[in-house]
Amino acid sequence: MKRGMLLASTLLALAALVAGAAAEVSPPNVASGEPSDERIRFQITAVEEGAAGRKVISDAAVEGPAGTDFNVNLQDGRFRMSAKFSTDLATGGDLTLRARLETRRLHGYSEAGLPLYEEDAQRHTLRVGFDEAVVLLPFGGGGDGGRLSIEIKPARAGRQASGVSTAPEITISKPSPGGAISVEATKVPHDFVVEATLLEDGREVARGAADSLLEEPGELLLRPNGAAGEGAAVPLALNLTVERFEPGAGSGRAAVRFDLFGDDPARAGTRTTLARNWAGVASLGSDLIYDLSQTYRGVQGKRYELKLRINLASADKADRRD
Amino acid sequence: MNCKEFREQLDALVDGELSADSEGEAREHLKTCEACSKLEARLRRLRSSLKRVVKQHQPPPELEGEVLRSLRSRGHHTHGTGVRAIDESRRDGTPVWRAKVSVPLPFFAMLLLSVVALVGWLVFARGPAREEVSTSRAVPFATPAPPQESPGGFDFSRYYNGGRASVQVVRRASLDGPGR
Repeated sequence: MKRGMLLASTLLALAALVAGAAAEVSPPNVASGEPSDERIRFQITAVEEGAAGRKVISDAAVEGPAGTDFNVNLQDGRFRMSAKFSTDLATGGDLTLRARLETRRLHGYSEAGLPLYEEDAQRHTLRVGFDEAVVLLPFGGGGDGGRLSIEIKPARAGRQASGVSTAPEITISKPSPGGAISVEATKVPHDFVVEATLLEDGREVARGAADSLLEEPGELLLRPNGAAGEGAAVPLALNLTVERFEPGAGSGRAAVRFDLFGDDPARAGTRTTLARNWAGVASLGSDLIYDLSQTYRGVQGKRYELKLRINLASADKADRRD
Repeated sequence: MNCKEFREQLDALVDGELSADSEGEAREHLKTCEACSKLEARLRRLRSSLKRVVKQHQPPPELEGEVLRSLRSRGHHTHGTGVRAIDESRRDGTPVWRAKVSVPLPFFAMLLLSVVALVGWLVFARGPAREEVSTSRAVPFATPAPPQESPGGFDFSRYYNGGRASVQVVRRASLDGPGR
């Protein structure tokens, strides 16, 4: 009897251990579009490496729900760097980091005494495991004073409790001298669905939809539904970017920018540009309407309009409800 | 470095007057440009040929004596010139550089004018010196910005050596290893 109880309690303990470990390492179900309730912590440490060894200049941590974004900014009298990191949990349990680096350095002065700047902008998409780290080198290999590196170490930080704020938290354990290095964090939706409709005298003649990742350009094709008048040159294509999301009253607002292309009537199979760099801002779920009468080659005498509607993708929609 | 820049620096390269960095750039260019490589080889050949020719044609030792004898025989032509003074100084054992040389005024004026003209040509006609050219190329129409710290006293310029910002993924162990 005692032996049986011992065996049962051992099995129970093993089961509990296995369940706990599984909860610790199980990747979020991102591929299915379900929101993740995991919290991620990014340890951000600025380190000077030189002949004298390794010296920590500043140390901070950003913690928030999966999808938290953060910026690392460097600034002194003549150098400025903005490193923006958008993060997402990827299938397989890794992180996807989209990094945008913008640097601006005062190079000197022209003969007229005007400032001359050296500027650089880069975009990188990185896949990062939780046993890995991202190293940002603002000056590449480094100069006489050694090499400055910003080490970013991701870690799982448990589950997001329901009813608790999803706002990211920043903990600064060692501030940089004079605030030369600063950290910001935000949590905004990354995944959107954009629907586009072509209207002929108010009647829908073509439609298309595409998933759109924040700040990443993508293509959206409008396909005719057969209702267009004879001579209308559908299909149309949009090269579109959701540039930013502004939280606020209701579900928030999104800003888009796009180029519009149509079939070239002179050369079959090639596109001609109908509009370039059009933009707009609208509340999610509401319509942005553009008059195409001057640009679109349709049926003489008919009025054409392009209607755009931006919504959150399902995962981000669920996040916003929390 | 492109071909134009290389050719501007070719003389200095062959003379060994380039800085280590510039010479490195020039040699890199030579590896990739056949035309410049041929040009450089041709210039080196020309210089070595000139040196060889000059060395081969040393004046015979008796030439100096013959010239002096010829000048003395003309007497009045050498009267009042430095040649006679040099000749006399040799005879009485005084070193040549201590001999008193008297130069006729028209000759001295011509000499002075020639020196002035030569200096003028060097300064104005040849353009800026090679060093000036390379300096203006390195920092085009700009004076460097003085170091400026942030309000809190931090200056990033000590990390700067012309490198571009970069971002990379590394194994965590390489950061957390011993000595870190």
